[in-house]
Amino acid sequence: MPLNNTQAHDKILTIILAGGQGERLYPLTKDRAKPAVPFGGIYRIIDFTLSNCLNSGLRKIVVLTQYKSFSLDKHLRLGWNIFNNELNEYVEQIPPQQRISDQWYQGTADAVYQNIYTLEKEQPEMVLILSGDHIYKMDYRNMALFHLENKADLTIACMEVPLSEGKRFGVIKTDEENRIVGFHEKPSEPIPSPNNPEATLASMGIYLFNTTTLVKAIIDDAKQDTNHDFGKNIIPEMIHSKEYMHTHLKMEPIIP
Amino acid sequence: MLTGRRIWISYKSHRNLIFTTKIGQSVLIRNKTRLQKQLLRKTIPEERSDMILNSIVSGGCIISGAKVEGCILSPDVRVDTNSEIYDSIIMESVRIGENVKIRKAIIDKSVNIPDYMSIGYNREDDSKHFTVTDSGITVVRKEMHLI
Repeated sequence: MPLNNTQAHDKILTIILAGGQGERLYPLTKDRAKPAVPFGGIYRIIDFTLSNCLNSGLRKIVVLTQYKSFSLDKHLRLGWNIFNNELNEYVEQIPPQQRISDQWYQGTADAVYQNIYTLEKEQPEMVLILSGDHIYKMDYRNMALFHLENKADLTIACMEVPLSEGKRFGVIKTDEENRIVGFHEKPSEPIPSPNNPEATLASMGIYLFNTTTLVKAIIDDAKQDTNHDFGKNIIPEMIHSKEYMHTHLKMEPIIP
Repeated sequence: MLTGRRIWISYKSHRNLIFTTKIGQSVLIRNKTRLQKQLLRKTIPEERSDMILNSIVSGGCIISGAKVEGCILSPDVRVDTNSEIYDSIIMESVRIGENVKIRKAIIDKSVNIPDYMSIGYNREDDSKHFTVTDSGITVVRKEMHLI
């Protein structure tokens, strides 16, 4: 039985990470953040992620911004002012507020850590972490259902890419029961996928956490001197500690 | 929206097409004086027509007497007479003048491309003014008027 929109809305808080510098798109990112780069005539890159959220019934969205956020802020204000605050729907953008430390977001995990009060205030059952600069189509409700059915603490969406391209991604190693047993960021020799020896399972940077798990993991990470990155630190550490249940969901790539 | 092969002809370009056909001209010119006829012939070149192939053209674009192929045009883009644009992405409010040639380029918002300019044909020239990627795409960034 799939999740309906109300359930998805009640249970899940979406956090979109839009703070990257986007160096590879220079000079298009000279005056704007990467999610605000125009795409396909009348859209911007973040529209794809936001549109996926909207179509999945997720209407509690927090966008964490950092670099050159004015253009993105303007776009969200003018283009995405469609949610009703009275129904507890929102798209909020949060710059670094220096509530916890006096520094900017040090990494993806630190960005969430610095906004941990949002999680405390909202108290969602699950937290969906997305990137603001990916172009794809996906129904996050299927992922949430998969997460609940497997009683997982963390679900990672991934897709099969050719072995030769695996070097560019976070690569997942799984066992027979869909559980993740290894996660390597940009490995030199990617592990083949269990079903297809020609391909490897690449993480799409879409993470669905149980809130309690996430909070514990990022607080633990914040105490240590790491890169504070989900792909580099948090997830490998969680897999290493074997305390949690992790599953992966294989996606077929959909070109919009 | 992005799938499939589409041919777009904007209203303006369509009008030009009719305007420049021989029948159209004879109809238009019939009741004018000789001087007016000459002026009209001068301002409208004989074989002026638009061609827009395999492109996405957003609302508010004016393409007048130009050739556009394999491009994405954002809203409020002007392309003027005799210009040719191939395989490019043109962002909002870009003005492209007359006799401009653009190939494999990304033009950022609000850029004015002057008449007779060519982008994407000479890599060395392009890299003096613009960013050229390894794959040979020229990126023209936003104009900075104040600095």
